[in-house]
Amino acid sequence: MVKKIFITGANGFIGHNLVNYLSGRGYEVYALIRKSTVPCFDLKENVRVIRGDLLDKESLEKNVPQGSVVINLGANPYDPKLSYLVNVGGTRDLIDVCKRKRVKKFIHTSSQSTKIRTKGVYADSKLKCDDMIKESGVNFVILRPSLVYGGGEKGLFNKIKTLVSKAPFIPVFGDGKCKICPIYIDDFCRVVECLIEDSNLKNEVFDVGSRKAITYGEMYEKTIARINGKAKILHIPVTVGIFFGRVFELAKLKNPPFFIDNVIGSTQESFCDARKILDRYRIEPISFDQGLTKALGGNKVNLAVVGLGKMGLMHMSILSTFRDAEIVALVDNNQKLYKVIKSMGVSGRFYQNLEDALRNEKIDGVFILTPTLSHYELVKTAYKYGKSVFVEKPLCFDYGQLKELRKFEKGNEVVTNVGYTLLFKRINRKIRSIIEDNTYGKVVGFDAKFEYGEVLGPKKGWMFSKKMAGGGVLINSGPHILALVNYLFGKPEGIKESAIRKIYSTEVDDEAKMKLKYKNFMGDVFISWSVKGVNIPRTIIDIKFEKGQLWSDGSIIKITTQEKKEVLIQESAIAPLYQNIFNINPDVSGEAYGLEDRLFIENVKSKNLKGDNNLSFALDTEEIIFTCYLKSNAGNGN
Amino acid sequence: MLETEIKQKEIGTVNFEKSESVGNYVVVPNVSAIAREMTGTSQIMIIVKKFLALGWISKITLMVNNMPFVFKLLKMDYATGVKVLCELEILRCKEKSKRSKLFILHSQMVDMALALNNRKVMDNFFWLASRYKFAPGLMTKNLGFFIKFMSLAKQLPMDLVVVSDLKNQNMALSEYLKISQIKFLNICE
Repeated sequence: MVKKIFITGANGFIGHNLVNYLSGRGYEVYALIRKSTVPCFDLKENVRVIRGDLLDKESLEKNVPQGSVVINLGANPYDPKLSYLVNVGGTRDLIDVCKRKRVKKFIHTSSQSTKIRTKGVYADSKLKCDDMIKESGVNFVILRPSLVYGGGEKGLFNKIKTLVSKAPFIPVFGDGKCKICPIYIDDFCRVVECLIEDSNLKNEVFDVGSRKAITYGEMYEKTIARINGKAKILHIPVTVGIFFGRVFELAKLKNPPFFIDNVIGSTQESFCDARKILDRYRIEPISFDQGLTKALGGNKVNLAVVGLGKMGLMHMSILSTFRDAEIVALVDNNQKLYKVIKSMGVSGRFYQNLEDALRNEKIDGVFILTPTLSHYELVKTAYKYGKSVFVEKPLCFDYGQLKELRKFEKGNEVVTNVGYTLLFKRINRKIRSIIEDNTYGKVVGFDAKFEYGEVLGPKKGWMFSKKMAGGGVLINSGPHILALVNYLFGKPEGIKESAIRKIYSTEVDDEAKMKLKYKNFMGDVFISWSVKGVNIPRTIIDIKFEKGQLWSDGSIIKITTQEKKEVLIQESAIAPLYQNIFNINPDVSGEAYGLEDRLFIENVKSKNLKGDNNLSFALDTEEIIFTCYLKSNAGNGN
Repeated sequence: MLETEIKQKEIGTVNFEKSESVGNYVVVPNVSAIAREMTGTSQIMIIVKKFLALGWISKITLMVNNMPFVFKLLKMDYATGVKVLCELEILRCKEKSKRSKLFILHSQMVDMALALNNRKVMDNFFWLASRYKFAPGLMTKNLGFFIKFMSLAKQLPMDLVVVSDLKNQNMALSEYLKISQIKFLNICE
C-alpha cells in the first residue's frame, strides 16, 4: 500500500525539495502550506496541497491522514513570540492530532543549535519542543540537521549564495573557525526516506550532516571561489553582529540579512556527529565541493546563442526554463539587440562574433538562429572548436554547402541537430508509431501538404531575395514538411517529378510540388505560402495503407479502416515525451520547439549523435530541396 | 478559487485604428496589432503614434505616470516598454468607456516573463492596476510554471485573476485551483 506522508512547512527550502523527492518516489504526499502562499513544489498526481498552519489546529485535525507518517518541518525562525507559539505550541497541537490519528511515525526536524551553550530564541524554542516530543508518547524521530543546502531560490544557502555573488565583502561572524557538516538536500531527502521505511525505528534522536566537517570560513571561501572569486571575507565581532541582528529585529524587517540566532549559532561549536544515522542506512553524502557544483549548476550544459532575433528570443526563452542548461554567450552583430534581450532577463555575455565567444567562454553547444546564408560558416566555426550545434532549418543554403557538410557525417564526434519542429509534435510521433506498428498494413502511398497564407502579394525583405534566402517557400518551409516525410517514410529513392512556381514574388518560388519515389510506393508533396485564408501554417498528411487510410491536420488523426470504421486520436490524448515542457506558444507548435531544445540538451549530455534530426537526416532532407531547384533551375540547386 | 468561465471571443483587444468598443475583458497589449505595425515602423514610433492618438488628459496622465520610468524607457528596458504599451491601451480604453474592466496581461508577455524569470513585467502591471484601479489579470498557457513562479513572489495583489485553460490539468493542480487564494478563470473556445 502507498504510504501517506503529511509534511508541514512544505513550502520551505527543505519542505518543497522533500515533497518533490517523496512524490517522485511514489509516496502519497499531503503538503501543508500557509493560506497566503502559493506552492513551489511540483503539483503531481500524488501530491495534495493542504492549506493551513501549525497554528490552525483545525487544518491539522481535518487533514492529517490516519496511520500516516508525519514530517514536521514547519517552524518560525526568529520572532520572539511566534517562535514559541509555532515551534512549541503548534507542534504540541500537531502531536495531539497525530496521537488521535494513530500516526505511525513522527519525524521532527530540530536543529544543531539546540546543543550550543548560549541559545537564541529559535534554539531555545526548538529544545523545548524536542523535550515535549520525547515526553509525548508518539513514536518519534528527532533530526538535528547541520546546514542543509542545495540549488534554487529558497533557504539559508541561497541567501549566502546571493550575498556572495552580489556583495563586495562577506560578513563572517567571529573568527569563522566553528565547524559545520553541510549536507546536500538530496542526501537529506534520502535520509528521511530511510527513516520512513525503517520499521525497527523507535524514539531516536539523530544528528544529520556530512561525514566531513568544514569551518564556516572554508564554506564561504569555497562558495566565493565558485561564484566570482572577488568578494572578500570580513570578520565581524560577535557583539557587533548581535547589535545589527537586534536592529533588524526592532526594525521588524520581513527578510533581514541575518538573525541574532545566525550570529550565535555560527560562533559556537555544536559537534555534529552524523555517523550514527549514516552508518545505520549506509549513506555516503556527497562532499561540500560536489554539492556546491550541483547547487550552483556546475554540471549544466553551457550554450552560446547566435542570432538575437525572433527565433533567437523564442529558443532563449525555452532554454532558460531548463535547470540543466545555461546561456553563457549571446552572439549578434547588432549590439542594440543585446540591450533589449538583457533587459528581458536573458543571461550571458555579449559577443559580436562566434569565434570570440568560443575562445572566451566554456561552451558545450551553439544555437545558430541566424538567416540561412550564415549557417554554414557558423556551423564550421563551431565544428572547428569541437562544439555541438543546433541550427534552425534549413541547415544549408545551397548544394555546394550540402556537399561540404557531407564530409562531416563520419568521424565528427559532436552533436548536430536541425530545427525541424514538426518531428517533435506529439501527433507526428504517433503517426510514425502507427506506420511502424503495421496495424493497417504497409504504406501504399501518401499526400503531404504544408500551406499558409503569408505571401499574398509582392513582399520585401531578405526572405524574398534569392541571393539572401537561396530560394522561396521550398527552402523556407520545405524543410519542415520534407523532414516530416523523411521521418515518417524514410529517405526516398528519388524525385519522379517536381515543379516550382512564382505567384506573387518576383525572385523566389511561392509554391512547390513534387512526387517522391520509394521502393514500393509514391508520395506527393505540396508546399505553398500563398494560400488565402490560412493564417497559421497547416500540415496535412494523408496516408494510404493496405488496410486503411490515415488523415491528419496536425491536431487530430483520423483513421478509416477497410471495414469503414473510424478511429479518432486527438493530440491532447497522446502522452508527451517529456513532462513539464515549457510551451512558449501553443498556437504555433510551442511544445515541439520545447521538445527539440530539450532533446538537443539531452543529446549533448549523452553525446548522442543519432537523434532524429541529426546531420545525416538533415542532409538527406535538404538534398531533396536542392535537387528540385536543380531540376527547375530556379533556386540554389547549383 | 475557481471563477466562472470566459469564452475566447469575449476577450477584446484595444485597436487604435478602429473606434470599436471592447467588452469587459481586455487583453493588453494588442500583440498581433503591434506585430503588424512592427513590419513598417520601429518600437519607439509605435509608442509615439499611439501616444499622439490619445486625448489631452490621457497624454498628461501618461507623461506624469512615466516620469520615473523615462530613463529606463530610453535604455530600451523591456519591462518598461511593455508597461507603457499596456498603459497606452488602458488609457485609450478608459477614454472610450468609463465602465470598469478586467485588464489582462497578454500570455506572450506573461509566459516570456515566466521563462526568463523577469518579475518586473508583472510588477509593472500590478503597478498599473493599482494606479488605474482595476483587478489585474494575467493570462498564461503554462499554468504549472506560472504557479511555481508566483510562489516566489514577495507579495501578490489580493484581487489577482489568472486566466488560463484550466481543463486538462492534473488532479493535484485542479484541486489546488479550488483552494488557492488566487482567482482562476477558465478560458474556453
